[in-house]
Amino acid sequence: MEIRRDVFQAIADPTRRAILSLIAIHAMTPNALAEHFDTSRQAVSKHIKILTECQLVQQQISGREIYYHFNPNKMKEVADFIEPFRRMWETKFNQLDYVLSTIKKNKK
Amino acid sequence: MTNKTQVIKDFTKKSVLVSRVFAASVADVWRAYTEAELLNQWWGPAPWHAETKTMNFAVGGYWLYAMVSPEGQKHWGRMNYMAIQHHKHFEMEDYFCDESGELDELLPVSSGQMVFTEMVDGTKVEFKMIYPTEADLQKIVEMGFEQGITICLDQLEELIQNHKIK
Repeated sequence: MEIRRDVFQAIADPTRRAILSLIAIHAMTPNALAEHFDTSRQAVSKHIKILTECQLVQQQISGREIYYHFNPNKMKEVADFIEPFRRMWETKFNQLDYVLSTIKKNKK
Repeated sequence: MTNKTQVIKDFTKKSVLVSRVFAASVADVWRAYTEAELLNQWWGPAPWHAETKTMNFAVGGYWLYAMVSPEGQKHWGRMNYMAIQHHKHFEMEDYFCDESGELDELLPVSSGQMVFTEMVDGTKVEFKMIYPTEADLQKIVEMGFEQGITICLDQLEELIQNHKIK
């Protein structure tokens, strides 16, 4: 089976969403990150690997430490994706506004 | 207007929630959601429009309608009404079908809830759609995506046309 790697799969998991909200505040080392979770360091690094493959997380080496950074541009893909769907409903609802105003008028 | 359409997509619950406040009474909004002549006027997002074939808003009843494209292409949809609480909420099963209302098995079936709440400034309607799998949810958002894109392109087209005239 082909493994799907995209932002949607990345944020489908609650642990990965928690990782993202942590590193969105500031970049973190693997150790600092692992302290926030009850799961094994191995499990956390597996999530990080997926997030990196999806480009939501970028790694930066600073001295002897690795820092995980959040990539907001990639996250924007999620927002952009939902936007046309929202727009479709907005179009429908604007039409509904008009229908509702005609119902009101007909009553008078 | 502060009546913004909110869309919340919940991956873990495989659901999408679309909510909006309308400056009208619950009774009027309820009518717009449950009467065929009114639904025809708004359910299809322009440039599409909805055409009702049959409507029986009652538990066990259904709405069979087509989404008609500007070229006249029809996509049939059916909404089965499962539970109704007058002016409060109704529950439905929503799917794509053929002209006779037979389920299109290739496309996802959703279960949904339409909740009407009276607000100070009007009526809030929350539409929650739940899909069997995450992939189904994705498919539906993608289809909305296509429609949304067409709307954008249509508006762009209009803009271009207007500029040409001037």
